[in-house]
Amino acid sequence: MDYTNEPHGVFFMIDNKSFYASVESVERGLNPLRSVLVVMSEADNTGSGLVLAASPQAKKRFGISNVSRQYEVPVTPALMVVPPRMNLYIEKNIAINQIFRSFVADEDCYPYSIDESILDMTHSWHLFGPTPLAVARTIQRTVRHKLGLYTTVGIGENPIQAKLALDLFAKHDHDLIGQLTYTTMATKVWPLTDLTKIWSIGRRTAIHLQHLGIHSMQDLALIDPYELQQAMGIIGTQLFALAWGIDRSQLHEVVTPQDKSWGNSQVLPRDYLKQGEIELVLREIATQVTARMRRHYQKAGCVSLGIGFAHAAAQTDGRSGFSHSLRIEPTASSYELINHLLTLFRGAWAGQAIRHIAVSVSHLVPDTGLQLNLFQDPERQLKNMRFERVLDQVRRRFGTTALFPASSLLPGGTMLARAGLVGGHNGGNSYD
Amino acid sequence: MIETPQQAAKLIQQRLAIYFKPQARHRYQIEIVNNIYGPTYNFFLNSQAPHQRERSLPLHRLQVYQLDYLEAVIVLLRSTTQLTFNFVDFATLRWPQKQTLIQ
Repeated sequence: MDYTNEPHGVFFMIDNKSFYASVESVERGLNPLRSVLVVMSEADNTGSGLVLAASPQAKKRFGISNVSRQYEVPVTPALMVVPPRMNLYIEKNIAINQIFRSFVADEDCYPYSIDESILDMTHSWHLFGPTPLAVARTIQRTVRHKLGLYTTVGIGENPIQAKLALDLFAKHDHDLIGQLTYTTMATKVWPLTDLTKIWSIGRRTAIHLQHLGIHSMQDLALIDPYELQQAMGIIGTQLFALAWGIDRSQLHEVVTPQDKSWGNSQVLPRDYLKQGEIELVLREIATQVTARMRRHYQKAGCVSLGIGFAHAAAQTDGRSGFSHSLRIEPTASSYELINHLLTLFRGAWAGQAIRHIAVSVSHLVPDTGLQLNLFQDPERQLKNMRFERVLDQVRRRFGTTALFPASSLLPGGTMLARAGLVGGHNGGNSYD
Repeated sequence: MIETPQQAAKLIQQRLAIYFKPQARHRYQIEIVNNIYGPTYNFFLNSQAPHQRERSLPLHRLQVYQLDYLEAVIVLLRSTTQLTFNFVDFATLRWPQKQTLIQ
């Protein structure tokens, strides 16, 4: 393969080792690599409890993985269980990215997730050391020194190589650093046979590839790309490029989605069977989603509803749930959007027990003014709009629970319980 | 707004009242960590039942990183609870008032 015309930069993909567990260890004066600690969410909808993060030692000694259930975690005095504090983790993530920004220009630091960032070091690495490897060590030491956290660094000539180096090699390396280049892809990555270990290849894609006779990264790299494209479409060509370590993405070019949408979903704390209770949660989620949309001065031309059945109901029904969308006259009114969602729900629901509800609004247009309806009282329409604006303003200023419908106090309502959560887990505000 | 030692102690007491539900054969202690990376003084309620997992609930993080401030908070807390205080990572530091080792 001729790589001459491919981008040759220096990219670092930096990940925090067991981030939540490490932050909690440091807060308790423990070494993140030696502590035996799990962060367990005991929010209502996690059942008995869900492990959000386990320290490296907890993983090693007890085989605990993230997303283990409470009952899967061994009962032993050697293990410390702590509740999550999502706001604290966000605070630490900001602090880490601030450190990264002392090594790269602001526009070359791309936070990728709560514990991962991509640094384009192409133009700045030589200011901090003789080799990219030495610079990676300096960054690791700085983060450790200032925040007490251990970081894992993947180094590559483009972002995908850095990500593969991080996932495949750095996490198992003594120095927590992995390196990949165009020339080492064949020797380091091609021998891998567990395709699900590779970024962007999930279980289903791996099965699909195996049906095509691809059982290793070498098979993937050496297949006819046109054949792969025929079988898998554009994803096939992307996977082929991945096997050769090719990534032509320009991180500084902002990708604007063709159709942005607003949405939210909830896993319910128990099986919901009563129509009144399900519709109550549906209203609560829709109210929250539409308020976010109005905050961006937008109207929605499409509403979508996704319902997930409870395990037993899914077995009986044969489907895991249903999802439906409806194109509508663009509106910003919660009342109207909720009515459309209720119509969708009532039309498709046949009494199954429900465990998951997702609501989204899309086909957004700027909310430049109210389109009056000829068949309704104009004063009433204006009043409704002003009413919703006032509600939005009060909630923005005093919090989402400052004003809420009395129905949220009925059995089944989840809004009040979830108001203090961040990303569905304990924000930890009450501990600060 | 900077929190006074009285406010900090009151907040910790309130949280203790919520989380501390004494049960037989359980060991409880308040852990105070000198977190040099914050820098903060962190308070936790740790509980341990025989052969069970240890649980550690955060109570508060003191943002004022001064020993005399911490000493004032501890004095107020000691007057309202009999729980054991466990100090972590204070090494050879001494209380500014009493001049005894922090332990």
